[in-house]
Amino acid sequence: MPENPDPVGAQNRTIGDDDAGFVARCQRGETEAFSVLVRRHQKKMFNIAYRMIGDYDEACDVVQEAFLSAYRAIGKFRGDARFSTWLCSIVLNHSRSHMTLRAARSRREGAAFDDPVKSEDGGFLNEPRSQEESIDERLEKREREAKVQECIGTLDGEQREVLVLRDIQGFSYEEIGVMLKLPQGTVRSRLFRARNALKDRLLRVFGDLK
Amino acid sequence: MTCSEIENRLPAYLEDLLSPEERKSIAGHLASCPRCSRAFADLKKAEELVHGLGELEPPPFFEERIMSRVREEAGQKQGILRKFFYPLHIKIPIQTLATLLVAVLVFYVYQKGEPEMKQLAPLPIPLTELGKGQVTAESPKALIAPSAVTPAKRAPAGDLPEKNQQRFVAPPFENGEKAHRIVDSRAPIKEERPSAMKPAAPVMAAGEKEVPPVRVETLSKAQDRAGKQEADKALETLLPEQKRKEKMADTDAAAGESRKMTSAPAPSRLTAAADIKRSAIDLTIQVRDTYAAIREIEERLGQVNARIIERQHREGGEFLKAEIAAQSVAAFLDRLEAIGRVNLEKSPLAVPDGNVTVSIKIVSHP
Repeated sequence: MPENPDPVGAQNRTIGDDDAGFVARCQRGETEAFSVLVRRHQKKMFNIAYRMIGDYDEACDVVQEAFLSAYRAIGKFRGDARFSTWLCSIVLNHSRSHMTLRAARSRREGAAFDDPVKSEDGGFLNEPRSQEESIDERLEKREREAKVQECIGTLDGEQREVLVLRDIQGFSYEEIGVMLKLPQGTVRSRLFRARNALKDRLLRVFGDLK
Repeated sequence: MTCSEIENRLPAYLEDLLSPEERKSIAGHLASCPRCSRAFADLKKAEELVHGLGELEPPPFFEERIMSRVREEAGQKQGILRKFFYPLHIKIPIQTLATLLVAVLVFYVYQKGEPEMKQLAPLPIPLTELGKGQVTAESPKALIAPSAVTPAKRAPAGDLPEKNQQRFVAPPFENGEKAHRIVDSRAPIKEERPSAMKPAAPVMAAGEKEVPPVRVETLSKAQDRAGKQEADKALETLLPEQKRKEKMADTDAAAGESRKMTSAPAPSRLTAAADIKRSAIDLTIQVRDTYAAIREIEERLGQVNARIIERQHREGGEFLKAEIAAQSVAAFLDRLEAIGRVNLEKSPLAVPDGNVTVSIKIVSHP
C-alpha cells in the first residue's frame, strides 16, 4: 500500500459518506436526525472509549460527552472526512482528557500513574455467547480478555490509540492518520512499537503465549 | 542485522511491508535463530489475542440518554421569547387567563380596600374654604360644623352617603379642642371633591396641584397654634354669647338631634374666627394671556420663596393658591402689578407674622 505522508491531502478528498444526509439535516437544526447518527455509531464509539479508558461506566460518560460535543460542533463539520472519522477523533480527544484527569486524580490520591487499569467485567455480559462454549470456557475467555485489556491499559497513550484504532477497530492507516493528524508512516511505526510493547506485556502476564 | 533489529522489524515483516531483500534476510534469520523465531510466534499470538477481543455492548437506553442530553442542549439554544410563547396554542391562553385573573384580583382588592383606606385617612379639609366667609345654602350637607359632629356620631365606613357628608368636616383638634372651622360650600367644594374623594391622598403624598389634606391640616395646626390663643381670646371677648350657644349646640349634636339645625348659627362666627387665625388674600389679576401669566406668577412666587399649594382651572379663569411669608407679600404684590391689572378683593388689615395664603384668580382680559 503506497504511503501517504500528508494526512491533510487525504482530508481534502471528497468522501462518500452514508451519514452525510443526516449530518446536513442536523446542520439545518433537525435535532432528531442526530439520533440516527447516535444509533449508528454509539457501539463503535463506546468500544473505542472503553479500550482507551478500560472502565465501562467512565467510557459511557465519555461517549455521552463526545456525542454532545459533536452535536454542538456539527455546524462546523465540512464533510472533508467521514462523519465517523470526525466523531472518532472527538471520542479520542475526550478519552485523552478523561485519562489526563484520572491520572491527576490518582496522583493526588497516592496511586501510581501507571497502575494497571481494572477491567469492567460487567461490560462483557452482553457479549454474544456461543452455544458450544461451556461456563468454564466463557470464564476463561473473560479472564483472558480482561488481562489483555489490562495490558493495553499499560501502554503509552499514543501507542494505545493506534493499537485500538488499527488492531481492534480495524480503521485504515489513512483514517487513523486523519484522526490523529499524523502521516501514515508515523502511524505505522507507532503501531509496530505498540505491538512489540504489548507482546512483551502479555508475555509478562501470561508467561507463555503458546 | 542483530536479533534486536530483527525483532523491531518483525511487525512490518508480519504485515508484509518490507522490501523483498529485507524480507528474505529476516526469513533466513528466523529459520536459524530460535529466540527471534519465538519472538515472531509470540507477536503473532499477541495479535490474535488483540483481534480476539469481543465487542462490548453499550448499556441499555444509551441512545436515549445521549439524545436527552442533546435535546436539552438544543432547547437551551432556543431564545427566551420562544420559550415563553411556544407552543402558542398552550401558552398564550394560559398567559391570557393569568393576566385576567391578576386584573380581577387587583380590582377586587381595590374595591375591598377602599373603605378601609378612607377610614384610615384623616378627614380632609379643603384649605380653600378656610377664611372664605359665609356659608350658603347651595350645599347644605357640607355646612355641618365640626363641633356638631362628634366622632361617636360618625357614620360607619361602609355608609357612602354619610361619608360624603363627613368628607368636609374637620377632625377634632388635639387635646379635645373643637375645631373652629367652617367649610365654604361655594364652587371650591365641588372642585375640591375629587381630591377629597381620594382618601389615600394624604398618605400617598399627592402632587403639588392637589391639596394634601395631611399637610394642610398640619399647616393649619401650625398656623393655628400661633394664633389660636389670640383667636380664642377674641372669640371669648367678642362673641361670648355665641360661644355659649355653640357649646350648647355641640351638646345637642352629641345627643344626635337636629345636627344641621344646631350647626346653622356657627358658620358666621367660625368664619370670623378663621379670618382672625389665618391671614388670606384674595385677588384677581386680569391678563392678556392666561397661560403666560400663570408661568410668570409662578416665577414671581418662586422669587419670594412662596409655596404653591393649589392650581386649578375653573370657568372664567385659572386659580392659583400659594403660601407666602408675610413679609414677602408686599414685594410679591408689587411684582404682580407688572404682569397685569390686580384687583385686591380681600386683604387683612394688618398682616401678621407667619405665612399668608394668597388666592389668585387669573382672568383673561383682552
